[in-house]
Order: sequence, then structure tokens, then C-alpha cells
Amino acid sequence: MIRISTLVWLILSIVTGSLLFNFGQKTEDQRHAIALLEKKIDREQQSLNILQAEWSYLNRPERLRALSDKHLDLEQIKRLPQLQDEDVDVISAPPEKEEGKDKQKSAKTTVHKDQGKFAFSKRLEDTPKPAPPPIKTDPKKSEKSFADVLQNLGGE
Amino acid sequence: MRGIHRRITTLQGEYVQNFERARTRFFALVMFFSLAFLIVVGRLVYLMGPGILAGDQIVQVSQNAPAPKRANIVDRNGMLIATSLETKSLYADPKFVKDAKKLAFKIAEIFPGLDASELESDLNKKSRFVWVKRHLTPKQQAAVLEIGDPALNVQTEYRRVYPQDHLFSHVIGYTNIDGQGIAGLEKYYDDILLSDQKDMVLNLDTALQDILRSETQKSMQEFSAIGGSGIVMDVNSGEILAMVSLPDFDPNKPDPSDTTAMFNRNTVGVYEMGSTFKPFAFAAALEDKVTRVNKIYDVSEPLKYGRFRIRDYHPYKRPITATEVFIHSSNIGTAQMALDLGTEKLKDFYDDLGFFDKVTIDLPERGSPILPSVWREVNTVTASYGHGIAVSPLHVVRATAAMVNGGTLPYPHLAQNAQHTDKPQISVISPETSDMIAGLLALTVEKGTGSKAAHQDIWVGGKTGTSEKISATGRYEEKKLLSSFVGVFPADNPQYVMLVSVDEPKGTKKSFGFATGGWTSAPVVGKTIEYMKPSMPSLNVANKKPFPTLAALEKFITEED
Repeated sequence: MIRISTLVWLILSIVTGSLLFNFGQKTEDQRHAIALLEKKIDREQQSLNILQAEWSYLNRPERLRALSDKHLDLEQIKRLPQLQDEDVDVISAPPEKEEGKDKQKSAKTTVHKDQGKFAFSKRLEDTPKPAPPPIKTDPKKSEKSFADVLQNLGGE
Repeated sequence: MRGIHRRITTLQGEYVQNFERARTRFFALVMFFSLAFLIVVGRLVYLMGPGILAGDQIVQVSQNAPAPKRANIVDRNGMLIATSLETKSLYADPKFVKDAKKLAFKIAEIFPGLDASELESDLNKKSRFVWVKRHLTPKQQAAVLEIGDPALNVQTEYRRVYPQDHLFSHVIGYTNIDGQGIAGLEKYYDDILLSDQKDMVLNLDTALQDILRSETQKSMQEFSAIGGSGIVMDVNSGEILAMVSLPDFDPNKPDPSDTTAMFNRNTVGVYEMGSTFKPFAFAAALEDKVTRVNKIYDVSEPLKYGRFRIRDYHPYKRPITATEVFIHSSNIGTAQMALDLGTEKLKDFYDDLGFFDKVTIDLPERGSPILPSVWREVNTVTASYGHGIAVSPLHVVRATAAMVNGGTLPYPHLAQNAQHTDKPQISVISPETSDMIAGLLALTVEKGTGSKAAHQDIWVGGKTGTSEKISATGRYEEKKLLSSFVGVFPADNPQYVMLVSVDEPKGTKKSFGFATGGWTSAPVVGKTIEYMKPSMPSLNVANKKPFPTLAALEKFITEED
């Protein structure tokens, strides 16, 4: 006679056994999938590496320079000489003119406002003898600097 | 009854005896097993603890080990300089080789340049492993698969690739086919690159390196020079931003027999650096208060010292101030200054600047300075203007940085997390003297010998240096020069120091036959600064700001020549 408890234990052990087997299989499958993924990652990493090396190779400054020389019409950036505050003083009205006191002020402000080549030359034409310009920028450095233009207009 | 009793006693005695024996045996058995168990436990504990370390040492690198993966090396902006790419390498197991001659012939067909007879003898070896060909191309790999010989096998390996070709040759070095660092950073950081797979970040800047290289190369071509070198370093931190030595080599296919190309002029080469030494003698004299910037020196007659006569390159017929001695690079004036200072003090100062030892940098290739065997007073005289003492260009860069950065010697380093920089800071001159030297250097570019390094918007300071090279016979050769220029910029707030040297330049028509540092190297520094300016925030200034030290020094120029 089979006791009920024996039957229960038997069923229980069969169930747990099959569950265990099932889990084991699943784990194995998952492991397999992980291995596959890892291999894939590795391969991706490899191609990334190669692409990175290629990127660096194509970006060799030597090559870029040759390409830009060939295809682009670019030049080294050159800064035009900037006007200094003391340069601005140069074109103010001569101090010997008495009525010029007010004018001197207005002349200065005009220059600051306009900041244009035209305004300068116009003022220079008005003033007969401008003081020698204390321009610091070396005229040799840039062939046609603005300071040159000023000096020529000054008649020196 | 008595007999029975006796028998029983005997039986009892026998029983007791047997029992005793069994107990002893049992005890022995227990002892044996516990002992064995203890041994096993002991062994286990040993293996878990010290055995692991000991075991590591036992593992030997097999001669046939495949080339390992090394960490990437990148520049300060992340641009790849060195990387390891996976490749396949072909090896054979001679045990399974049936017809060595036939197999060798088949393999040699795939790989041109492979000697079939040599391969055949390899395949007949007794060993179980023979490299046939390293680093196959995919096509070659397919062809090998076609042969389908069971003796042939493919092994995954890593090959070191340098995408920037020649650009970093001496700095980066190279590896052998087994992936071991042989030269340069690859050798210096071999352990780290093999163990740590994180990218190694350098202080170098690819763009700047290229500018310096191409400008130096241009100057070399213009003056038909045999070599050239250049360094850019941060004066405060000692970070090396560029380091170029020409001629150079391609680390992807290095040829160690080409010693000229393999030679790193910046760290291995030691040269008499000429007048680039004058700021050091000057700083020592200023610091010791034996001179002032307005002190007058008579330089009209060559200085006679024993059998030596010290002359000036640009002779003066009048007494000049110390400031003029500096900016016109007068040997006579500097020598007088050094004599006033005294041999011991100058020697000690040069020692402090590191001129008596190999230069500190994270490269294995470093040359020892050449010093006078006995340091007499005449050596003091010549050493004050950079003769009779030979140091590497990097020595000069490092010392010049200390001259202008407030007086502290930096530790030059290529890798961003270099370890050798964690050393006490050495202060060699006072901030006041340092400020004065920076002003004098700027004045040299404004009014003196270094005018070709001047820049429109940045105060550049610098010093030229031209020395005659010593021939094999030990004499100075007038025609063979080493022409250098060391520049600091911006001179009113020094950030960078740049040294450019050109080896054996020949004068041209354009340079009126001159091949001095002012003609060959100063323009390289000037142009490099111009190209460098837009990408360096500290240089990106619109105008020169007033430079008080320079203005003060300008007063000591007595007469315009």
C-alpha cells in the first residue's frame, strides 16, 4: 500500500527535478548568448579600433595641409593693425588754434564715433600741420598698414 | 574447573591484548589521516596566500607567446598616436608535417620574400611550434586556409600601429614584433602599457608637433643642414607640448641600423649650446649682485686669458652696459661677469640647473652631459657663453624655463600622469632676477640678435646661440655650426619655452652668408608662435600690453648702432 506522503514526496521530487533541469538548460542557453554577445562586442571593439586608427591616419596634419593647399584658397590669418588711443590723438586739431579748443574735443568724438577711414582723412585735410604720429606699429611688418596711410596723408 | 578457568583467563587476556592492539592501530590511523588532512589544509592556505605571488613568478613568458595587446597612446586632445590592432599569425606544428618540402613550397607561394628552404628546415624541427609568418593580411589568411594542411594553424595576435607615421618617431619609440617596447615611451612605460588597458594620455599636441616639425624641416632645407631639433615646453608645469628631432623614422617600420635617424637629438645628443647659456651666467651674476643691468663693461679689446683670446662676434669699440652685453651677446662682457662671480659659484649654479646629470624626462634615451675633466678658471670663462660644456637641448629648455617662470626648475614630462614629477620643487633664482631675465630676453628680440623671432601681438623673448662643432680631431670647425634659438613667450607673462637647433647649416644668399641662430632658428620659433597663437588661449591676445621691465631696461641701451 502506497502511503499518501510517499506519493506526495515522489511528485515533489519529480517536479523539482524537472524544474532544476529546465533552469540548468536555460542558464546554459543564456551563457551561450552571453558568449555570442561578448564575441560581437569584441568584434565591434576591433572595428572601432581600426576606424579610430584610420581616422587618426586620415587626420595627419601633413595630409590635411596638402589637401587644404590643393583645394582651399586660404591664407594665414593676418590681423590688421589696430588703432591705439594715442594714435587717435594725432589727428586732433593743433593746440595753437585758439578757437580750436572746442573743435578739438568735437574732432576727437567724431573720430571715435565714425571709426572710419573717411573721417580720418577728412580731418587730416583740415589740419595743416599735424603732430608727428607716435605710431608704434612697425610699417615694415605690414606693407600697407593703416598707419602708412595716415603718415602719407600727413605729408611727411 | 581449574583448566576452564585458566582458559577463560587466557581468552580474556587474549581479548584484552587484541583490544589494545586495535586501539593502537586505530589511533595511528587517526593520526595519519589528521596529519594528511593538515598537510592538505596547509597547502591550500599557502596557495591562497603567498603561493599566488610565487606562482606568478614561475610562469615564464614562452618564446612563442603571441604579441599582446598594448594600451592606446593618445595626444592631449585624444588623437590616436599608437594603437594595437588584432591580426592573425601563421604557425606550424612540425609533428604533423608530412612533406616539409611540398608544404614549404606552397607557403612560400603565398608570401613573397619568404625563403622556402629556410622554412623547410624549420618545418623539420623537433619542436611543436614554429612561427611561419606574423601578421597576415586577410587575403593571405584565406590563401593559407586553401592549403588546408593540418600542421598549419593561425594564432590571434596584436600588432602595434602608429597612424601618425613619422610625426612622433623619437618620442613614441617603437615595439618589436613580439609587442615589447624597444625605444621611447613604448619602452619607458612598457609595464603600464601592457598591464593597464586605459588610454595613455600625453601632453603632446599633434598639430603643434606638426608645425614645429615642418618649420624646422623648412629651415633645414633652406640652409642645407644635416639635422634639426625643436622642443616646446610649458615653463611652469614642465609639460612637453612638442618634441621634434630630424631626421626621423617611421615607427611602423623602424630600422635600428639607421643610427642617425634613430638618434633623439633632444635628449640623447649633447652639444655645446653656445650663447643660449648666457642667460644662466647672467642670472647667476645678477643673483649674486656682482653685476647690475647698468654696469659698464669694456669690451673693446679681446679678453686675454692665458693662451686664449676671447673675441666677440659683433665687436664693439666702446664700453657698453650689461644690458647691451646681453642683447648683443658679447662673449667678452659675459666672461668678465663670470670671472667676477667666481668659478665655484658658477659651477654650483650650473649644478643646481641640472647640467651635471642626465636630464629628467620619461624617456629611456638620455645622454650624459660632457663636462671639463678639471674645472679651471678658463672653463668658467668658456662655460659662461656655452662652450667647453655639452648638454642636451632639453637641459637648456628646462633651465631657461626656470630663468623666466619665477625661478623654479620644472620637471619635463611627456605623459600626463608621469610619476617622476612628484619631486620637491627646486628654486634656483629669485622672482626678481627671473623677471629681469625675461625682460632682457624680450629686449634681445626687440633690439638685438633675435629679431627674426618677433611677433606682432606677443612679446617674444629669446636668445640666439651659435657654436662651432668640434671635429674628430678635437678642433673647433668654423664651417660646422650648431645654430640655436631659445624663445620664451609671452615674455611679459612667460607660458612657453621653445628651443630650435639646426645642425650644420650653410649660409645662403638671402642670409648674406650667415648661418647663425638668428637666421636659421629664430624664424622657426617666430613662425611656430604665429601658427600656435589661434589655438592657445594664453596666446590669444590682440595687442602687446605695456611691458614695464622691458621699458626700464631699454634705458640702458647707450647708443644705437
